[in-house]
Amino acid sequence: MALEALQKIQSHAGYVSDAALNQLAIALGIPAGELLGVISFYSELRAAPPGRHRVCVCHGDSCAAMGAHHIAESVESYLGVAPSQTTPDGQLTYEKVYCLGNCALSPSIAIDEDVQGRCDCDGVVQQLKRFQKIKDA
Amino acid sequence: MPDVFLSQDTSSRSIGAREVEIALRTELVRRGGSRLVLTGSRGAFFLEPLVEVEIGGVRVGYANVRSEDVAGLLDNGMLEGRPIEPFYIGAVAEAPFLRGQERITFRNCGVIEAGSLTAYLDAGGGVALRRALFEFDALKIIAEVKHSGLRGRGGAAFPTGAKWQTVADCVADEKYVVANGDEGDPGTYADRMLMEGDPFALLEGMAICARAVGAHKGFIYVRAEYPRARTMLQKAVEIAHGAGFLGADILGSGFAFDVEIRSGGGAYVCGEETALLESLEGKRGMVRPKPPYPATVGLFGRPTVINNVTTFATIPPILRQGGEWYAAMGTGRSRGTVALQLAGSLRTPGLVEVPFGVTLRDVINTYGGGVPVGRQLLAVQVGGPLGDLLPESGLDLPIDFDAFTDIGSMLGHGGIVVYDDHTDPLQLTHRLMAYVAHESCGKCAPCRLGSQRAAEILESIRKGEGQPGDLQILDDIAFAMRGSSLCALGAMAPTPVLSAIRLFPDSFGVGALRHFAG
Ligand SMILES: Cc1cc2nc3c(=O)[nH]c(=O)nc-3n(C[C@H](O)[C@H](O)[C@H](O)COP(=O)(O)O)c2cc1C
Ligand code: SF4
Ligand code: FES
Repeated sequence: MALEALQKIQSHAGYVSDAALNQLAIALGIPAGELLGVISFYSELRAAPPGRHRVCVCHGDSCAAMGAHHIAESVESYLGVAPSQTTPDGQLTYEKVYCLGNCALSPSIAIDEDVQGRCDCDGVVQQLKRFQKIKDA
Repeated sequence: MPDVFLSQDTSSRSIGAREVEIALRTELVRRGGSRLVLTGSRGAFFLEPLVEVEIGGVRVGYANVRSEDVAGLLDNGMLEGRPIEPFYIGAVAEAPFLRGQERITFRNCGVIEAGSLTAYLDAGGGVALRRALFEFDALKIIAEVKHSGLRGRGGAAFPTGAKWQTVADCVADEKYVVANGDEGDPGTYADRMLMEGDPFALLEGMAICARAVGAHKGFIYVRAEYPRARTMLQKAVEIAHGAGFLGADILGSGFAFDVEIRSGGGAYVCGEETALLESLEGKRGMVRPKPPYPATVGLFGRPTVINNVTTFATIPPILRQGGEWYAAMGTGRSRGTVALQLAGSLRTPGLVEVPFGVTLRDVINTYGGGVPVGRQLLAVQVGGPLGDLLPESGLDLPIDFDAFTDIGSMLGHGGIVVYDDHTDPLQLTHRLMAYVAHESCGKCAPCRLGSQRAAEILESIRKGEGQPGDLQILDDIAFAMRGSSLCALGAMAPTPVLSAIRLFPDSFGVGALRHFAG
């Protein structure tokens, strides 16, 4: 049941903190190390706080066939971070994902849970700018 | 006032259907009252956002509508079905992309209100479940599934009836029914469409299975990347409960069955059935050695049916119309229809449900519209990231599980990704191998280490730093991975890479290739 419990913690807190992990280990009677093993196995689980928003660029086969690497390059150069990193202002976490189930409208990205299809580099960067604006305002 | 239909599935929303919904809702209220029915998608995604209006029993369509077009369309007589350029496509069911299809599993997707039990029952839903509860015994249900010739749509193409039989024959205090909604193959989306657009079909298929094998508890494992599917299923389970289609006494039959929804954690290997069971038990998704198969020792050590979402959703029509009816379609040992998911570089990609037996070329050209103007087809990959790469000359292969196995490939979950000449074969193979290295569960050394090493070699060749013996090493790694991997992730991973070397020798360096000849 460890996975489900960790998912619940993350859906409330955004990540699984050391404190939460230790508490859960005691509650379930399993070593904390084993829970850490579960967290490291699943790419969706995080042991560190994420940014306020999340931008995922799909690198699945279909999106790759439609130039996903150009989108990724634009995002990386605009945000100045590598995959799985968060911008210094804590606004955006950038992630690589493998298929959003939107392959007939590749290339795709997702901003939080909002999937977007037939993306182009400029359009994606424009949207990221909006997040910066929210921050400035 | 006629009813107006609009898809709100993830893909439709990804190109503006959400905004169109808001605009339509506002305008329809202002103009006094057509009903707006929110559906899943028919899978003709290149037409979305697609607004449909029912005129005299026929649904006519307005394609590629943006929110700012809505008021104008209504002003110009969309509710009367006027042919307004450039949106009007006439009767939707007669559109070239849909006309030739045989919609059985996807009969309701994009057609009925998504997540409405009333709409599902009106469309013939529930008949099969009643039959399974009141008319047929377990033996008869399984016999119908066997007669249908249905084979699993998740990848391994195992006969569904035989799997159910094994679980039914087991004596155990508890048995489980698990739906595999992990849909991990990049380039596929059939399960997502069903979960979002026709969730009750999945629930009905699972309940029929539970009845046949004597299980009372089911799980649907939905991948983390599908939040909308999860929400839709959660609601559907609650509604089904309220209406007595799930619960302690289904439709007064005395039979009990409950379903729980669980989320995946973003690991490709968790789509493999034993890794999925480990994950459902809350652990790291490590593949278990087989045998024992999940049918005898499955979830929490109990006999378990694990089937793909599309497999389960095909059960209700089979039970309603009979196994023989279903088996009348298809070719060889691939009976019925197959849901092909077109993706990559095509003019009109989307979901195509047709009887087995059509050729790959036909599907790509007739439905997919071929590669866009100005591009050349490089290769087609069928069956996900582990599937073989086929050149233009290999496209006459029939869509048939066994035809693909015969050439050392697989039809898998029915994903078809087309690459054009803008794709670099080296980059492609490096990406595929890096993906396997990233997703390997780590249990077998050849998969864990071999994929890592192979990815490094491909990367160095790509950078122009290849060594003379590189292709030989790749070949050795492939041999080890194929021979001693516990699951298909490791065993199949070398397939597309070796094909690419054969198909595009120039990309890999002719000198190096000469070394590879043996
Ligand atoms: C690496 C790997 C990934 C898999 N991913 C999936 C998946 O995402 N969905 C799925 O239904 N089956 C997947 N399978 C196949 C399952 O192991 C299993 O055969 C299937 O769920 C059984 O259902 P079916 O008989 O209805 O196809 C995968 C297999 C392997 C080896
Ligand atoms: S082949 Fe790879 S993914 Fe499959 S069990 Fe072995 S290590 Fe895990
Ligand atoms: S491959 Fe990118 S959405 Fe499927």
